[in-house]
Amino acid sequence: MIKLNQINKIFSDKHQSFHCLKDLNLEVKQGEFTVIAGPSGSGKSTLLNIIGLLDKPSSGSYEFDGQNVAKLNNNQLADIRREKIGFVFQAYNLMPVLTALENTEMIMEFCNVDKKVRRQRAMETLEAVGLGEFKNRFPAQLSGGQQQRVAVARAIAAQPLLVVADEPTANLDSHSTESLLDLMQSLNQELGVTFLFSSHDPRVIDRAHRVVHLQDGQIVKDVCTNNNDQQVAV
Amino acid sequence: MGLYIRLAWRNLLRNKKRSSVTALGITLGIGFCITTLAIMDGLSHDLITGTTQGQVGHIQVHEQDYLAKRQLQQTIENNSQVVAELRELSSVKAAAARLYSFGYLSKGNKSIGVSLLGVEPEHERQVTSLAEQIIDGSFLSQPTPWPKGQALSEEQLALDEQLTEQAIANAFAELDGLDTTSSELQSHTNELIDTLAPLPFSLPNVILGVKLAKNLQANVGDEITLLFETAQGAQQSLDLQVAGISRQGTDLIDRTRMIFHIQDLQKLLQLPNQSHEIAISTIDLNKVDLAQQVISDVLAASYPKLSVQTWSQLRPDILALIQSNQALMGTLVFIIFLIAGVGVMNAMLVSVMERRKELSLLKALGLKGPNVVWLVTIETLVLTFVASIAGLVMGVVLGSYLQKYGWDISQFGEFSLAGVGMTSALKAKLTLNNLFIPVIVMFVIALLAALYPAFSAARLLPAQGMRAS
Ligand SMILES: Nc1ncnc2c1ncn2[C@@H]1O[C@H](COP(=O)(O)OP(=O)(O)O)[C@@H](O)[C@H]1O
Ligand SMILES: [Mg+2]
Repeated sequence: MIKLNQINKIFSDKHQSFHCLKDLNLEVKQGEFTVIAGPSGSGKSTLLNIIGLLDKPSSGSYEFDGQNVAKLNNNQLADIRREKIGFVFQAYNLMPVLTALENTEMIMEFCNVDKKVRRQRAMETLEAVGLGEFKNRFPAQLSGGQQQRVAVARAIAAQPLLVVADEPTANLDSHSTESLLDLMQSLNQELGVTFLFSSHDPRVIDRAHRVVHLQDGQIVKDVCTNNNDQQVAV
Repeated sequence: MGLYIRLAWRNLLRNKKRSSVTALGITLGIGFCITTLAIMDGLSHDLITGTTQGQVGHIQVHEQDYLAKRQLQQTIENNSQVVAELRELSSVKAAAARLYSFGYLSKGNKSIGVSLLGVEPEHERQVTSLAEQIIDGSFLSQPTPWPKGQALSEEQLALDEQLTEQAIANAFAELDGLDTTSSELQSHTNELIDTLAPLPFSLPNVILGVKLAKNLQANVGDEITLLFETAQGAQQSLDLQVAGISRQGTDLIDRTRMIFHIQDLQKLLQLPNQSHEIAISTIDLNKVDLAQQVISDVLAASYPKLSVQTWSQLRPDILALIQSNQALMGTLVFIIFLIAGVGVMNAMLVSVMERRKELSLLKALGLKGPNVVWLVTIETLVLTFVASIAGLVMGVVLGSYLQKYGWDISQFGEFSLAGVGMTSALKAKLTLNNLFIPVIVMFVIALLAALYPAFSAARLLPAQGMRAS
């Protein structure tokens, strides 16, 4: 579903340039539950931004869902993001003026999904993430973990092909981290949604089926474990 | 759409202080503009009615060169037929003929130059408020009974010739130092004049301007003497009686005006069935140009020497005054709106800057540039909409107060604009235009003001706001 070939990303301004991703090749298949692991500054966010079509590579080719997306313009990219990709960010995930339910519904509303259908689907999703009773709360009235669950609900409610999550647990305590990962994993297994997320937290990395190790913008290790057992270290 | 409005509304409520300050600017702007426009329209209306009802009427007919030269002989002949024909027209509500001249008025040892105005009292009442300007005594009604002058018979013409020759001979004799005083010549001459232009049976009634009366120390009922010249150039004097005192409100007019029944003045000036001016009041002042056309067409056939003008052609100064007044108010309104517009732009810019992360999130989630422009624009429109309703209420309340009770400007003294006496309370005039033009203009300005913030919001990169730092 995702095919990255010789991807380079160079950030440059007037004074300096920074080679962030270097000749990176990566393939992700439908239904994977994969983590991009690596220390801070290794380029995880940059890579996820490119995969999530939020940013364009400096060079290289990218095929998403069988389509070469390197040549698409911003509006076309926005259409693909809206229709096919769900996002969970580290922070600023939710619209502060919308309730949990409205946030969950939002993307479907932008996609002009029929009101009854989207309301029902949003409610079901919210219940699936265990927040049914908080549907009318605003983000500020929810804990950090609950906010990230709403973000996950929003990401999957629109039934995307892929959910991209950039350090979704970075701001969470260990208990919330556990339950968020449980949630993501079960959604992955039940719905078959592809999850691609980043982390530098070993407890999170342990839960993935595949770990792509990133260092200084290069993939240094790519391990398939298919092992859900937290006790076993990689 | 629903989501956009919900987002807009809640975002506005999020920073209640900023939103209400901006809304207050719009509200005050609209409310003030409605009031200003209403006052302006009231003033224009007062000026126009002051002009048309004060003296001018809606339309006037003159001998074609009269307005340029204003000579006594440039009259409308067959006055009564012309007036009768005009009164037949369906667009004419009333028509009143007038005659003008000058004279020298004296009482006791005081003498003052006066302008003479002859009117048809009953018709004049329907065209102007001349009759309502009487502050003492009463307005004119009937013409003074006056024996008809007769043409001279053959014998009298011969006598006239003989008297003239004798007068010339006497003049030469006087030059030679001979005493030629002839009472016989004088009495014969008086007889002839009496035949031609006899004196009235009673003293003709006249109205004096209030300041003229004061300067002459003349009161209602007093006798005064007028020295004047007939159309043929003969100097004559006649005793008159003051029937009333009028106050028009303009200094010059109150100082010099003297009003006659038009038939009396026709007799005095020896201009039978002639007038200088016919003032017309039409059915609808808004269609005055149409009425002018109709009247011109009707008169052109039988009276080719007459010309027809509307009030604005006769008083271009008033029209110019109204227009410059409108331009001034327009500028004021524009400045107010500009300030409100800058306020809106500033508020929206700040609000967009504060919400960069959210707007980036929306773009990341798949909103396109135009969607974001729309989002910010709708927010501005919702704010403007709410504030406009408050502004409309404010404008209607203020405007209808001023429409009902007026704005007392008498504290600034007696008002006369370009010769039009103004009533002391300036009354506003609320119209649909006055209400909706400010609102529409405000929406356009708010939209323009929203453009820059909206486009800068739309330019935000989807990934920018996502970085954790
Ligand atoms: N927009 C940018 N302009 C310049 N440098 C950037 C930009 N975004 C990221 N970088 C740099 O690229 C490197 C990788 O960043 P990032 O992808 O955020 O790493 P990670 O998410 O693994 O911490 C960092 O050194 C960062 O400073
Ligand atoms: Mg990062």
